[in-house]
Amino acid sequence: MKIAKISNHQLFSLTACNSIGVALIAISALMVRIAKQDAWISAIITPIFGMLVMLMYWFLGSKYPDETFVDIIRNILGKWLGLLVGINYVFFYTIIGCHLPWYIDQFITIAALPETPTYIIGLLFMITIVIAELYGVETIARASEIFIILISILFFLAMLLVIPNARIDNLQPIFEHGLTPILKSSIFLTCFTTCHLVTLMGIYPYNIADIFAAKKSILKGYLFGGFIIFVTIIMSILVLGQNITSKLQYPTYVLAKEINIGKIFTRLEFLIALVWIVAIFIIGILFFHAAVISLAQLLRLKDPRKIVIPLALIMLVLSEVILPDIPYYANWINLVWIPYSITIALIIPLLLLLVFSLKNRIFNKKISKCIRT
Amino acid sequence: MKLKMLLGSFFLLFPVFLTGCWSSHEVNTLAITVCIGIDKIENGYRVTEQVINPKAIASKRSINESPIILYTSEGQSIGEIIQSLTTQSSRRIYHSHLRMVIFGEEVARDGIKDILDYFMREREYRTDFYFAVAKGASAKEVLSVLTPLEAIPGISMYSSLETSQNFWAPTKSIKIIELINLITAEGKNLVLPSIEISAGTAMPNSTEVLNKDTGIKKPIFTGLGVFRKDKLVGWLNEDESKGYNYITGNVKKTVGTIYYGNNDRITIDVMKVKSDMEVYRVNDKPAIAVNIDMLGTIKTAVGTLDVSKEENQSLLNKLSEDRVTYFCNKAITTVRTEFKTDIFGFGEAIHKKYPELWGTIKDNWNDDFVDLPVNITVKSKVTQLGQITTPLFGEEKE
Repeated sequence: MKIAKISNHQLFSLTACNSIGVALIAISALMVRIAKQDAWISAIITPIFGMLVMLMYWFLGSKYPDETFVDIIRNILGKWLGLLVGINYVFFYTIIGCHLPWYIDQFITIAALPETPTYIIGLLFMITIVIAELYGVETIARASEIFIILISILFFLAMLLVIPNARIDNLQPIFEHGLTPILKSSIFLTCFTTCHLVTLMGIYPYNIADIFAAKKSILKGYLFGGFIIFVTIIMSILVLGQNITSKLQYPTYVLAKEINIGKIFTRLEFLIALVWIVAIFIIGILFFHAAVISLAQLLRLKDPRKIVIPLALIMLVLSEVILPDIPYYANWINLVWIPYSITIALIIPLLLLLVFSLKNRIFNKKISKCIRT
Repeated sequence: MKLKMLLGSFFLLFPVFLTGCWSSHEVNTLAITVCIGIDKIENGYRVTEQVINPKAIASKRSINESPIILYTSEGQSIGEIIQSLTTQSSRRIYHSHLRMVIFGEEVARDGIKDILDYFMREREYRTDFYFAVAKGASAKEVLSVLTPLEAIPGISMYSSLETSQNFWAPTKSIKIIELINLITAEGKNLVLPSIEISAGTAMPNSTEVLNKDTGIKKPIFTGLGVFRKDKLVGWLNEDESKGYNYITGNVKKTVGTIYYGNNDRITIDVMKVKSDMEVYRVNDKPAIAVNIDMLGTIKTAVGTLDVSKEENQSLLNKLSEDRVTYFCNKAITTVRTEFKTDIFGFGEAIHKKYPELWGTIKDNWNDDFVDLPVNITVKSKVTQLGQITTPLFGEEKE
């Protein structure tokens, strides 16, 4: 079977959609709750740290350019330990992937269609994802290439139109509460924009055409996503003020409700909703694809497509069970998501890197010894 | 065979698309409300909703029906009362096109915090409607007044507030985001426009009155209501409201009259106002300087003063500066002596410039604010004279 290869621009758009994804519509509330009016500063700090993480993923991939992530883990950690870590990743992709239909159906029921059962919305979302997955990686990548244009245009249009409502004194005084809350909130932001990018390992490095040019496009995509998140956070504070932003469920959505230019450009909040749903869709596909590919690799299946529909059904049902309500979710973020995502997305790849370089050093010494003797 | 299967599956799938939309509400099953009035009753609230009567608005023939319908219900929770209105109305009441929320005076004196939660939490409300406090009448009475030019009173009030905010200094329009920010802000308090029923001979509660009479009553915005946190504490009259808006930089365009001597009245069209607040720190105590720059045109000049002469220019500037300074000082004095609440945002300005100084004084700011030194400097420039240069009848001698 021919391996689907995606171009670097496609990798850029996938990375960008992925890091915008979950954070776009709700993150500013979380951030502002901790860092008050200084939350935008942590949106600048976070990408600097996040870029190191991106470089780590790239380095890991560049050492094994023709293998999938599960194979890389198995190569580095050996058969049994590799299996264990691999199962861990499949679990992560499946469980967190379940949250994405949940995000969508919560949003739709709160903002637009209160009487529609959430299962129906989740079902529609999962059906689209299954169709996309059956079409394959190339189609997903091309779709993301189109979607990133849509996202950028609509998002920046909405933000441009809301500028007349911005009040600069909402940002003052700067650094009122010191640096600690800013750093604290940047941990949140890292968990919501950077840690999701571990799903890129589902297509990276196996499906990448040019692994060395990929470094640039991953970083570019990540920074672009970071910039969009920065704009949402700063605009939320400028327009809504820190007090209201911190108390809202979907600050960016309310932000777009504020658009009112000459009584002609009004009621444009669905621009933001559309942007968010499209971005969530891409991130949902990436999670699902990573889950399918990793599971198929672990089980050494010849055709990963056979498990697409069963896994989709499991995830659909799980999505309605896994998060019962919003207070549970808020609690879950603090207690589970931060340590869990940091473990999966930062610590384990770091350990892999460590083991890899140790192994290499010992191996190289042996070789050089052999040569000397 | 294949065709049969295709047809079979087509007919099986077809009903799925015939069910129509979930959560759909056709326009003819909705009652669109434009205005909500909230009054205080003995234990709870009385909510009045002004709903558009589509038959009277949309039909081409003139129908002798009121353009609006009022629904009123009582209870303890706003959300519950509004839902219970469906027992009176044949249609579901739909709030996305809400234009105005009017609080009765007693509700405002009691605190509006509990009400605002509903408007922010409920999905149907947008963020683009205005708030006002009814003065001298209950909110229900204000809502029941029909208006002549605009058929729907709620929209009439909304447009009138919006227009006067741009062309007339004493009013101020406030939407929900700013409202909540003002209630929760430290060192700044809320004002809301007050709405009255104007004096007149006939109360327009039916379309006949509206057609026949000349001296009909109208809803009218008169000044501002002053709040401490979320509770109404008093009213500012027109002059004081003007002063408030000049200080906070909320005047876009307005008109003012200055008096010179006994007979001369000169009305100035204020075209542009810029005001900024500066904070100084004197001996570890804050002081405020408000600088107001304005640009004007002469609208009318009655009397003998020759406005075209250069020496009179500086006189005009001086007089208009004095006039605005008078408004501002009057507003500050009234608020300080009667209400003791910092509606001007002096505290907020101090907080933004000297956060650590603010930390020491914020606890009893509303009392300290009384002794805060405030200096108001107005710079006025009357640049244009209109279409006339020298006074039309200036040289007549009797």
